[in-house]
Amino acid sequence: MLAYILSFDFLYSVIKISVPLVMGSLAASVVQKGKLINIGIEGIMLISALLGVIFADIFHNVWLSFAITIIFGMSFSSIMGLFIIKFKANDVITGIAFNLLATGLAGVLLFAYSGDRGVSTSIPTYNIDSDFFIIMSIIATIVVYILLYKTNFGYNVDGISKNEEACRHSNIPVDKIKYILFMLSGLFSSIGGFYMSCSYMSKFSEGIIAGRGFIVLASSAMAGNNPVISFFTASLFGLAKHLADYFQLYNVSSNLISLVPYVIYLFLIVFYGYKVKRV
Amino acid sequence: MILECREIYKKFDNGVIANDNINFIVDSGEIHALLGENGAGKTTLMKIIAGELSCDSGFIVLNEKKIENKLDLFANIGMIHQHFELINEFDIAENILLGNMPVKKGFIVDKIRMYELIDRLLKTHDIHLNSHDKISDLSLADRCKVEIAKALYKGVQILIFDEPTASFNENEKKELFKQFKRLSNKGLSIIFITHKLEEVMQIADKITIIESGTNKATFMTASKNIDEISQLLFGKINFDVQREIIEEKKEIIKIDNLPVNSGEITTLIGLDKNGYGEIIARIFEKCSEKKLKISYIPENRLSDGLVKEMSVEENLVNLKNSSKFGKWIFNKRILKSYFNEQVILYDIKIKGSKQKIDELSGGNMQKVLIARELSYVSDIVLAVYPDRGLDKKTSLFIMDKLIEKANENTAVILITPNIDDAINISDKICVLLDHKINYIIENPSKNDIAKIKEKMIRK
Amino acid sequence: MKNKKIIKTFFISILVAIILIFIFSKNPIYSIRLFFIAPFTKFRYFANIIENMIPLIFTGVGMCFILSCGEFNLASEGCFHIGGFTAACISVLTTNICIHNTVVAVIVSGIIASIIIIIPAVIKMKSGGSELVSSIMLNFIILHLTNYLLMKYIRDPMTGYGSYELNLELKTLISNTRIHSGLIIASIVIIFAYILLYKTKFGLEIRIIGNNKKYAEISGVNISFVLLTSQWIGGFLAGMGGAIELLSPIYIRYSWTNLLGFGWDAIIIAILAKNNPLKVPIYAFMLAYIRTGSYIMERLSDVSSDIALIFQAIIIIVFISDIFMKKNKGVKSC
Repeated sequence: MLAYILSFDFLYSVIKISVPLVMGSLAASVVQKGKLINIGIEGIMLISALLGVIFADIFHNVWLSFAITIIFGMSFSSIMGLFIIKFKANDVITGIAFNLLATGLAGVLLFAYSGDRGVSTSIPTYNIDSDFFIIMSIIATIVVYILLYKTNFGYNVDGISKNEEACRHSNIPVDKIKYILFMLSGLFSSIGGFYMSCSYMSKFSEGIIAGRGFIVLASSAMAGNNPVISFFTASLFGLAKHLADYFQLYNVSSNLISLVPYVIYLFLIVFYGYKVKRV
Repeated sequence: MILECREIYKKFDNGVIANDNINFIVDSGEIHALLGENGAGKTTLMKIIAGELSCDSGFIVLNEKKIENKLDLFANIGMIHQHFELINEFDIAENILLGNMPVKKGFIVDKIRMYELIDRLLKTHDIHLNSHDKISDLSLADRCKVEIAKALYKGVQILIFDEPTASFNENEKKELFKQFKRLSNKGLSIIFITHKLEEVMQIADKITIIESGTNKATFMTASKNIDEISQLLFGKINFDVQREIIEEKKEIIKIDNLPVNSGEITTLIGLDKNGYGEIIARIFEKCSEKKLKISYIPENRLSDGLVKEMSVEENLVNLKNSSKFGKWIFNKRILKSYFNEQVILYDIKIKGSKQKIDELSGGNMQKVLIARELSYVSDIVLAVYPDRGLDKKTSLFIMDKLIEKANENTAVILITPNIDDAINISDKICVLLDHKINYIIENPSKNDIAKIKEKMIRK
Repeated sequence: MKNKKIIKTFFISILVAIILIFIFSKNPIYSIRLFFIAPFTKFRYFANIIENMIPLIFTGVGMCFILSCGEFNLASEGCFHIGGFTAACISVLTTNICIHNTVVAVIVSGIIASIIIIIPAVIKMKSGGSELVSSIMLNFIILHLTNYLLMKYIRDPMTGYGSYELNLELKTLISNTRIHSGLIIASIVIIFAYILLYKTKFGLEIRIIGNNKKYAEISGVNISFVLLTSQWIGGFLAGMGGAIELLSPIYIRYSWTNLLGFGWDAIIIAILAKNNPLKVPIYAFMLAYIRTGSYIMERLSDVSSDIALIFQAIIIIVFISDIFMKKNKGVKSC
C-alpha cells in the first residue's frame, strides 16, 4: 500500500482527479477577487458535462464539442452576471437559482436527447486524453495569475474589490470588468465539467459533479483567491478524493475519508477565517 | 472666462429641486468660493460641473465650446470630495495610475516606470510625498495632496474641492491654501465649497452664495467685509416659542467641562459633519458609563435611525420600552392605539399603518423617528440636526417637541448648524471651533447672534 | 403593487415552461395538461402534493428565521438530513420506552440539528469566516458522516443501503394517503413562528438586525444573542422536519444516502414568502404541486421531471431582479 502511495501512478491519479477542482477554483477565484461569488459553478459544470457528451455525439467530433460547450458555459455565466450586475440581484441567490436552472436543463436535455434518465448510457462515448486538460489546467493557472496580479486589468479588479465607488469615480469600467470576470468563471467551470464526462470518464451521469462546484468555493477561499496557491489547495481535495476511492478497496469506509478535506477546511476556517465575500 | 454655466436645473427622483436655474461663471486662474447652507444645492451643482451628474436643463460652456458630453467635463475638471475617493490599501502611484498603468511587453504592468512617473509628478508640483506611500499611512492633509496630484495627472484646468479643510488643523489649512495659490498662479481655476467664512476671506478671489437651489449673490471677496457676507449667508430669524421654568434641574453629564443639565436645552453649534461623530460617540460613552437612558435622533434618518424595509407601525416601536405593548407578544390593540396616538400627536401623513417607511416624505419619516424616540422616557435627548432638509413648518414642530421634553425635566442636547433654531430654543449655546469649545452663552437672545457667528469662525 | 410582481413572475415562468414543453415533447398539449392540471384530477395525486409539502414547510419556516437575521447560513439541508438520521437511530437503536417515542425522537433530532447549524454562525462570529461556504461544507460533512454511521451501526444487512425497519411512526391522517400528523404539527409551527417573528420584541430584533445592523446596535440590541438564537431556531425546525419526514408513512426504513434537497428548496420558499411564515405554505404548496405535476408528466409523457427545477429557477431569477421595479435613481442631494 505504501509503495503505491509513493509511486508516480498515485501522483498522476491525484493530478487527474484534481483537474476539475483546479479549474473550478480558478472559476471561483476570478469572481471572488471582484468581491462577488459564483455559486453556480456546480450547475455550469454539470450542464457542460452533459453538453460535451451530446455535442460530441451530434457532430461526431469531440473537439468541436469542446469549443461549443465552453462558449455555452461562458454565455451561461454571462447571463448570470447580467442579473447580478445590471439588475442588481443578490449574487448568492442568483447563483442558487442558476444552479437549479442548469440542473433542471441537464435532466430535461438528457432525457429529451437520448431517452436516458440519470446516466447517458445510450449515447456513444468520446474521449480526449487527460494530459491535454492537465496541461491546460497548469497553463490556465499561470495565465489567471498573471492576469490578476500583473496586469492593469488585475489592478482594476483589486481596486474594485477595495473601493468600488472610488474606481467608478476614476472612470474605470467597473461593470464591464465584472462581466469579464463572470465570463471567465463560466469558461473555467465549463472546461472542468467537460473534462469530467469527456476525459476523466466517458459518460455523463447526473451525479458526476458530486459537489465539486461547492468544494472549489472552499479551496479558492483557503488559497486567498490566489490561483497558484489554489492549485495546491484544490489538489489537496483531489488527494482526499482519490484516497477515498482507493481505500474502498481495503474496506476502509470511503465516507470517512471523504470527510477529511471538509473537516480540514472547517478547522482552517476557524483559525484563519477565510473571507469568501464581504463579511 | 473659462467655464460658464447657465440656467442649470436639476430635480431628483424624490421631487427635490436641487438646482433651480443656477448661473455660475469661473475665470481662469481664479480661486472661487461657493457658500451656502446645508442642502442649498452646492454639491449637486459641482457634481454637474465635474461631469458626475447630468443636469435636466441648462448648458455649460468650457473653453468657449458648448459641452454635449459629460466625459468632456470629466477630462478637464477634477472634483475632490469631502471623503476622498482613494483606495486606502493602495499606494499613491497605484491610486493615481489605476486603469492607466504603464505596461511592458504589451500587458504586464511596469512597476518601475510607474513609480518613476509618479515621483516625477509629485516633484513637479512640489508635493513632498513618496510614490510608494500607502494611503492608509497618510494624514488627511496628505491624502488631499494625493487627490490633487491625481487630478493634475489627468490634466485638469479646474479643480473643485468639497469642504476641503473639514478635518485639517491650522498648519494643514495654510499648506492647502499655499497649494491653491500655486495652482492658480499656474493658470488653474480652483472652486471650493465651504461654510467657513474666515477661510473664504483668506484665500478666495470671488464668492458665490447659493440658497435653496438658486443664486443668492456673486461678488469679489474684496468688495465686502465679513459682516456683510455673514448677513447674506444667515438671513433673518422669525419665530418665538414658549418655555417653562424648571425648578429642580440637575446635572446629567459633562461635555468637556460643560455641564449639561436636565430641564435645559443645550445646543452645540459650529461643528461640521465630521465633528458630529466624535462628540456623539463621547456622549454615548458617558451615558453608558452612568447607565443613563438616551433617546437619539440621528442626522441620517434612513441609514441610522429607521428600518427601511419595515412599515411605519414597526418603525414606531422603540425597542427600549416595547414592553408596554405586552410582556411576551405585542398586543394588537395597545400597538394600534399607540400608533394612532403618535400619528395624531406628530401629524404624520401616511396612507396606513402598514405603509413602508421609505415611501414617506423626508419630513414625515423624521416625524416617525422623533415620535419613536420621544415616546421613550429618557434622561437625555440627543438630537443631531433634526430638521435637516425639512420645511420651516416641520422644523418649528420639531423644535416645539424638544421644548416639551425639556419642560418635562429631560436634558436635551441639540447639535445643529442652524443659528435660528439655537437662539430660539436654547438655554445654553456652546460654540465650537475646530472641535473645541470656543464660547459659551446662557439664555441667548437675538442680540447675541453676531457674537455667536463671530465665535464660529474666530477664537 | 407587490401582488402584481408575483403574478408577473409566475406568468413568465409558466410561459417558459410551456415553451420548453413544446420544444421537448411530442405531445405538448397532453404534457402541459399533465403538468399543470393532472395533480388536481386524482385524489391520490393531490395527496402527493400535500405529502411533499409538509417537509418544505418545516425547512421553509426555518429558513425564514435565518434569512430574516441577514445570514446566508445554508446548513438547513444538512440539518434536515441529520434530523432524519437521528430519528432513525432513536427508532432503531433504542428500546427504552421513555426514549423510544415519536415525540422525543422529533425533539432530540431538532436539538441535534440546531447544534449543527450554530457551527457556521459561531465561526462567522469568532473569525469572520463566511457562513455561506462553511455551511455548504458542513452539509457534505453531515452527509458523509451519516452515511458512515448508517453503514456501521444501523444498516440492515439484508438491504443495500437501508437501515432496519423503523418502528416509530406518525399516524396517517387521511386513509388511503400517506398524509400524516406532521401536517398538524406543521400548521402549529407556522402560527407560532409567525407570532414569534412578527408579534414579539425578539422577532422585531431579528428583523431589524437583518435590515439595518447599525440601527440595531445603536438601539442596544444584543446582536450575538439574537443572531445565534434565530439561526438556532432555523436549524431546530429543519431537524424537526427531517425527523418528521422520516418517521412518516412514506418511509419504511432510513436510506437517505444523498441529500434530499428540502433545505435548498427552503431558500426559494423563504425568498418568495419574503420571510413571512404565513406565506410559506402557499409556496411550499406551489413547489410541491410543480414537483408532483412534473412526476406525472414524466411517467405518462415524454418530458423529464427536472423541468420542475427549471420552473423554480425562473421564478426565483425573475423575482429577485429589479427589472420590473422602477430603477431607484434617487441620489441624495447635498
